[in-house]
Amino acid sequence: MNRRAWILGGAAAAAGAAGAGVAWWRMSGSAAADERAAQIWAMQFETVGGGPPLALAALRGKPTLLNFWATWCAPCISELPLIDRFQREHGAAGWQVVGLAVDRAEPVAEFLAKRPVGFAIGLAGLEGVELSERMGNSGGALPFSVVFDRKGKVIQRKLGMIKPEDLQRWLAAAG
Amino acid sequence: MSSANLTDEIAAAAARLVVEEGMEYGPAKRRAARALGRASVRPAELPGNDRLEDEVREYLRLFCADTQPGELAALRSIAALWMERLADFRPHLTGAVWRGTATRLNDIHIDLYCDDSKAAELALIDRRVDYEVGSRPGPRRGEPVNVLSLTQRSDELGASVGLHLSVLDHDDLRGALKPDAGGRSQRGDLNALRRLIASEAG
Repeated sequence: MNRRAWILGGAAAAAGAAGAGVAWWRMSGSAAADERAAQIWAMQFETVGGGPPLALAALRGKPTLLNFWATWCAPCISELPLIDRFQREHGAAGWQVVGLAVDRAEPVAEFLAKRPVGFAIGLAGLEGVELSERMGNSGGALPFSVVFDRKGKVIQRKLGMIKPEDLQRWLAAAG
Repeated sequence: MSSANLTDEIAAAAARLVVEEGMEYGPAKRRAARALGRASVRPAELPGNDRLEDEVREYLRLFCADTQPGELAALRSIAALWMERLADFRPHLTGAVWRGTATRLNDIHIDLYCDDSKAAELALIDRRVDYEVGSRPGPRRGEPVNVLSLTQRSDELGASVGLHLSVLDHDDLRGALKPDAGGRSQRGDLNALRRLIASEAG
């Protein structure tokens, strides 16, 4: 394998990441994707345990971390405690976390019974991955997160596991 | 409207969404059906992926002939670069960049067929490449596979391009090389990609 190409590539990727830290994925600049993502506020989702549906319209008006996850997705499961803590720590300041499970109802119910979370979970079904793609998940993998400001406008997106520094950046971005 | 006409109209409308908004085929078809006032379209009335791809090519030829070939070439050269770097893991290019219908809105999708599922990730770590780990249903009865996502700057496009590496098993390769119902290949290795690049340039 060409070692030199790798090192150059690594440096370029690192430089790109530093420069693009905020913009991260180029789709974050797509006005069409932002507009499609904001349509989420008109949607509602079934919830586990047969409770009333989760209507996102009722949640609009707060900075929001919308997280697409699944019980079959290992990186999603590992980041749940982090975003659960984020909700606990910043809920009082107005933040909210909403989880959309790209999954069937039974495994989600089973999972949450064992490892409950303190934020709202909606069931997006297995076709939920297409919903995430409409919102700008150009890779089609999970986890995928979208951050909205108070006005319901998209301010950040992230494919892959959330890190503590992502949360810090989002806190700052939402103001 | 007859069923055949409806399918044609959905294919044409979906092709526009695929090209202009970078949508995936499945969501584009359903959204096109809704836009045509058909809330409930029977699956049989939706165009197949090969039918939609024909329509996408036609749309590109009519409306993007001046920009798309250059954008595709830029994406393919980035794909080739990463396939050289990842040669140990039997990289195969797939998706719109392989099929030739990609524009600057598309990401690059590369499948890696590894003997050791951790090796590709370790290679990225060794070389200090910044990447994200995701998961998606894989080819084996939907069993999840890891997707390593990174961005690569493209000077030609003046933007960063998303690149997604699906970590598959060496044993998955045989099935992956079967052509689809329309006889078209779904992915190709570096040599096949170089042939494509050479034929487009010629």
